[in-house]
Amino acid sequence: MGKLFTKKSRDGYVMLDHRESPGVTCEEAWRTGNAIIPIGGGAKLEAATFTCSKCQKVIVKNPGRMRERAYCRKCDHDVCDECGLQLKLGHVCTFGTCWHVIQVNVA
Amino acid sequence: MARRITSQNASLTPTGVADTTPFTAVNNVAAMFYRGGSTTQYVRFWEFSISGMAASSSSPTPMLFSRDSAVSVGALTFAATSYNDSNMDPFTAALAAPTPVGNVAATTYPQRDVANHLLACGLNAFGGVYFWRANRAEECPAIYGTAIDIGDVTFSCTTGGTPGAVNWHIIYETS
Repeated sequence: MGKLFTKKSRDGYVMLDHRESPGVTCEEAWRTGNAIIPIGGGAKLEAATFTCSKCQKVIVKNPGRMRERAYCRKCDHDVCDECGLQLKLGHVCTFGTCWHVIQVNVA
Repeated sequence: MARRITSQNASLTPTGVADTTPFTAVNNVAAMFYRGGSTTQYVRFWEFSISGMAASSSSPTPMLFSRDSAVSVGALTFAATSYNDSNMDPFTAALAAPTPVGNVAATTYPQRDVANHLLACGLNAFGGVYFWRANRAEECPAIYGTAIDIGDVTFSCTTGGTPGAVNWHIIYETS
């Protein structure tokens, strides 16, 4: 019997270790355009990630998030909030807009 | 399929470069540019690991992996011997069209796109460690071909921080 597929099995892994570091405050992260996840000194972040199937941005899953996450039924994949809005506005999942479709056609 | 690893192991301090600003031979320290090796080459990026090496003071270092709004032109090479690009498996056959990688562009340097930042890899270089890894091929950020937007990416430091010394490796796979 094959392995049961779960969406969680696709999760990536991110680790930001500031246990031996002054860390980064929210203000410092904001000044960089959020190029740094604001993890304070003495703390360590380990989290799951997913890659948006539309824009390929890697999104860190916030375990405390209560809002539903955007999802594309065509490619059976989570999408980021920005692309989720595009889906709600009627943009469709096509070769030109969905990296999953591109990968299937290239492979 | 061939997995390769790019590394920088000299603890260099990157220069913050703003989006849509061209990289140069001066601000390219601890940056890395990747471009498709052919018009149909597909390259997946599997792993990013950055170690902060700053010696004495807090150094928020906003490293970014991003698509480019202007592609690099000409051969890509490394500025110093502290950079390395190597196959991970010693039995890897040489690629017919190796993926161009380096922090020096022979003709034109790329520019980071303002809208397509793929991975925020920032850390405090004074004692911080960053690591990200994809679990499946379809979860990897990728480039395809050599065209603008999808065929060229950079790993570099953006502005707004006080960068400190880092070293890092990136694992990618060409297919």
